[in-house]
Amino acid sequence: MRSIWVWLFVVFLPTTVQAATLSGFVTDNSNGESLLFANIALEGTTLGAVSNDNGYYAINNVPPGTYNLVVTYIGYASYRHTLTLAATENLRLEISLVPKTLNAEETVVEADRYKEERLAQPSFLSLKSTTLKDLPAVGEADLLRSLQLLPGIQAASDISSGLYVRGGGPDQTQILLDQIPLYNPSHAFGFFSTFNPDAIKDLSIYKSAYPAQYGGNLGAVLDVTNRDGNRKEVQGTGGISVIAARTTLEGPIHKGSWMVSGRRTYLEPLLNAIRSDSNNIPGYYFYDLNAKINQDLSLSDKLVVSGYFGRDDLNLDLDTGSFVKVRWGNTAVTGKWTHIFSPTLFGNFLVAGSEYVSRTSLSFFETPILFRNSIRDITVKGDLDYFASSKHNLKIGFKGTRYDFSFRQVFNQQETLTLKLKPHLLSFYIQDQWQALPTTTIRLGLRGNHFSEQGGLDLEPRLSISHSLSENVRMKFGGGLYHQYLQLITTEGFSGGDFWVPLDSTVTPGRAYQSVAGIEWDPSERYQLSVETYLSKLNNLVVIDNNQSVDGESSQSNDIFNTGGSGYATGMEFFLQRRTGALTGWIGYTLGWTRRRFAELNQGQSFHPKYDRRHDFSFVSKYKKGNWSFGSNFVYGTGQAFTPASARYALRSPATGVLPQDDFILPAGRNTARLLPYHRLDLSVTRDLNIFGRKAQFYLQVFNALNRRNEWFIQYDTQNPDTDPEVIKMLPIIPTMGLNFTF
Amino acid sequence: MSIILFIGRKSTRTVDPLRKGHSYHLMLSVFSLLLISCAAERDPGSLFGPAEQGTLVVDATLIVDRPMPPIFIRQTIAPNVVYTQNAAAVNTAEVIITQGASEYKYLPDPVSSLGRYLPPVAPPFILPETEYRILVRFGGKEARAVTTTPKRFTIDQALMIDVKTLEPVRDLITFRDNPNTVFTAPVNQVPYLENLIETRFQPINVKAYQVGIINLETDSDFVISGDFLDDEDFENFERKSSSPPLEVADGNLRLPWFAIAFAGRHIIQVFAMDDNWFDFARSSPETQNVGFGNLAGDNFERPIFHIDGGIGLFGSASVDSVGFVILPQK
Repeated sequence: MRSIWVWLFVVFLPTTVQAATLSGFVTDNSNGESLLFANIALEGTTLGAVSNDNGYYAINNVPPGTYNLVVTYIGYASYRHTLTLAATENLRLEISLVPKTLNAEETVVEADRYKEERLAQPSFLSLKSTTLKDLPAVGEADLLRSLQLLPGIQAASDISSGLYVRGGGPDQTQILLDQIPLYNPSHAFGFFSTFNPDAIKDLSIYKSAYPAQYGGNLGAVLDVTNRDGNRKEVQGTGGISVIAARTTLEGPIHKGSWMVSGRRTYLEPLLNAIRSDSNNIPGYYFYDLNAKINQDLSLSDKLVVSGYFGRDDLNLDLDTGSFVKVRWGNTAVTGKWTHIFSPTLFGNFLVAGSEYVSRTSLSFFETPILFRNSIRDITVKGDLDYFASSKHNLKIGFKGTRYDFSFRQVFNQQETLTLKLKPHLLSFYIQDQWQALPTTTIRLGLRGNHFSEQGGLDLEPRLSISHSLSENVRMKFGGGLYHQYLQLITTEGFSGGDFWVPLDSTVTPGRAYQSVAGIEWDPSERYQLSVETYLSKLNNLVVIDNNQSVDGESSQSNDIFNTGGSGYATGMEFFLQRRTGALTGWIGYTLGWTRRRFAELNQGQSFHPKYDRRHDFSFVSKYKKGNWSFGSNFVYGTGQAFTPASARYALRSPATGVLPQDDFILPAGRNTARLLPYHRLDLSVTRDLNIFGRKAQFYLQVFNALNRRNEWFIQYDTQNPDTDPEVIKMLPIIPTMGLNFTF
Repeated sequence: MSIILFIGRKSTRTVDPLRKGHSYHLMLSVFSLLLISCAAERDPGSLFGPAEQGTLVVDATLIVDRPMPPIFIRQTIAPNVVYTQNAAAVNTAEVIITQGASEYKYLPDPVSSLGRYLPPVAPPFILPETEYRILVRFGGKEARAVTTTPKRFTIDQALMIDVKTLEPVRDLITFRDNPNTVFTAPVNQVPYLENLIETRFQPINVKAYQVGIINLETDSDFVISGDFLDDEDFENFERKSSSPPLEVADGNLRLPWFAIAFAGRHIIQVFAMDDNWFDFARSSPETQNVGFGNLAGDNFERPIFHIDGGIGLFGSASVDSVGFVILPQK
């Protein structure tokens, strides 16, 4: 106990009376956007700082004198400035970095904007939105599909944009947009994500062992930040693909900026034209809208209001009295106040609301069926960054979320299941990033959670250590304890029906112990190599009980789920990037294992989940020459698991006494067989153009250029004398084209 | 080859045309290999697991207040072999059902060769809330199971309710009221899609109920129609069908119209299932729509059998039923 007080005293030791402080924001000179994790240093000293996730930096305890300030950030010209600081002076210096001028042969892969965060935190990756747009895609550039090309992150199929990160499913991954969770970030039944690449500024992912400012899930955290808007001039971008049209407008307003970005499919006129009484062409569309407005209220206060609105709508009219209507969508609104209490104390305070609603209405021969699920939350959140000294950066925060869950199932006008819960989750955290040695950074954190349905307080320690063996070689370790209180019920291939359920007191919340260890080597600005191993031990897992009665009224967690599951995920990742030059890209490889065990499944024997894949390889490249860019993705993965058939048998239906025409298949051990290996090559070519004096790009992309029909799942058909199982295949070759433009 | 390109250093030497040609040949070879490997075809036999043929399959259900019934004993066959009843039938097993101290030895049906076994002459009626055991011996294998029959169950009321207001429109005559007029009484003539049919009962101490829907006609017309149904869909409609397990916590069981496909006389049987029957029904292939391996969330799961040394169903239930006549739409 005494050592804690000593530590706190050291951390909070009052600054030297004569010392000065230098602070301010780092922004992009061309549009005023804040730049996160920029490196700021006083040349010739050990004094420096890294701009935080709002672009704010502070260097304190600076002895009076004259210094050369150097600011570096990948993709921008270095900033140099000579300044003189008097004793006790608090100098506010706003730093505006100029984007590098690229020659025709050079491309900067802006994947390392968050270099400083990557240096301190293992299992962390970041991508710039321009990288997303450059990757070959199917129909539309997609954030989540692009992430699936990184080591440790897999896709379940070509149909799904769901993320399977280090042996965990989409239910264990938290997805945030401007710090607010999106509960179903998918369009088109999981085919696309809800993230419009034009609206995104940056995204970062913690694949495991995430730091203390995040919590509430057992796996990864994906944190997406939308653009702030151009503070210098009004500009617009747009694009047309075979799926959707999109446009983004942004510009300055008073002492700030605004941004509006929208996207919508335009297939309805075509579908309407070909729909007739003899076919059942459904009506379908999706749209999403992102908006943001920033205002500097004073030198010390900023206000940001942002919103996201997205919907999917499917309408299938079969006949009189028979139809299918599915609608789902997310809405999220955030108001954030940033206040600088002092040069070394920076705060963000946020109030936000998020809503996800899914409504499925069916009718077959006048028998109505309704499923309605909604989750609404209101969150109040506060984070303080205290730049205590050149060695200690403290983060302290709190978060309170009030949830409103509602699930309703009505069959034939009888309410068969109603679930209404209004739990709340209170969290706090404290984290110190300690520059223990010039070569060693330790990030020590503690998070506490109280979930009203569970009671009590769950404490979650977090630790990461980064040690530089040399200027270019670092070893990193990390780990922590994590809990999860909400469970996602998701269906691959039909994400419109996804819903979240809070875990009540009848089950213990999921728990994970995670640890990672790795080594990174940056031999130059051009190359970066990392090798990392991970281990996650999972307890108290739940999975939906598929054997419930269809009209089961119990909404208790131990009736809805099979509970008490356990498992693990472990593996190794290799990641080699080439970041600059005409040819850029990466090679990624993952070797991984994951297993689960539930008493009610597979007769209590442990099994591999479907998405367990032993080897996963990706090769992503982009070659730029003049006005042309050529891109390719190649992915290879050993087969996913499936349950084979072991026998055939027949049983009379006990309610009718009739032996069915078709026999039954007896499954063998769960997921004891493997599909064939998966591989796919995507190609793209992009031409920079000038249309009416404005920059534009025309692109042609080919998804699955080799037309390999990869296996998706196996269907054992017992309806004909043939016993050959049918292998359902994934997507064939799909060419797409589109145009991006500015105005 | 790709790695060499990836980290090769820039050279100031003149590119040798021969080396350039060599690179093109390599790329072409790699591309060709990829193309060749693109055919994702495989031997269908590799999609089966280790065969479990020869496992005993017990097919026996006891109904309270009905005589001890005939049962079937079969065996599983290999997954890659066409299933036939003859191939699966077990005709020479030793089958014994015991209740308390009483043993009832089953004998193979002399007429059937499909694994059918008959109870002793003058079989006893199945008692409620009573434990029954089955033992099957064949080919050195032994299968055992236990079922405890539920208490007696009765339907108190069958009625029509208004589709909009859900208020009762009229009562239907039940078999208890007058078994001879169930299918002739005017109140039991129900036009298709007009109002809703509901049965009401006092729930008993079972986990769930299963409904059997039986059309007694042999050649009555379809009442369903739909442009989205083709000939193959119509062929798949059967005159006997069943529901998945239903909890019916409030005792009001409403019949969905999609369960009725044909005109004519219908019997709706409501079975109050024992635990064995419930576990099998909720996990059975029919309920799980098995045929799809691992489409989403690993739902190709082995049913719950409760048979030691084998698979199948040894279950019991109490039952009551109602009858009515479906009239085609005008």
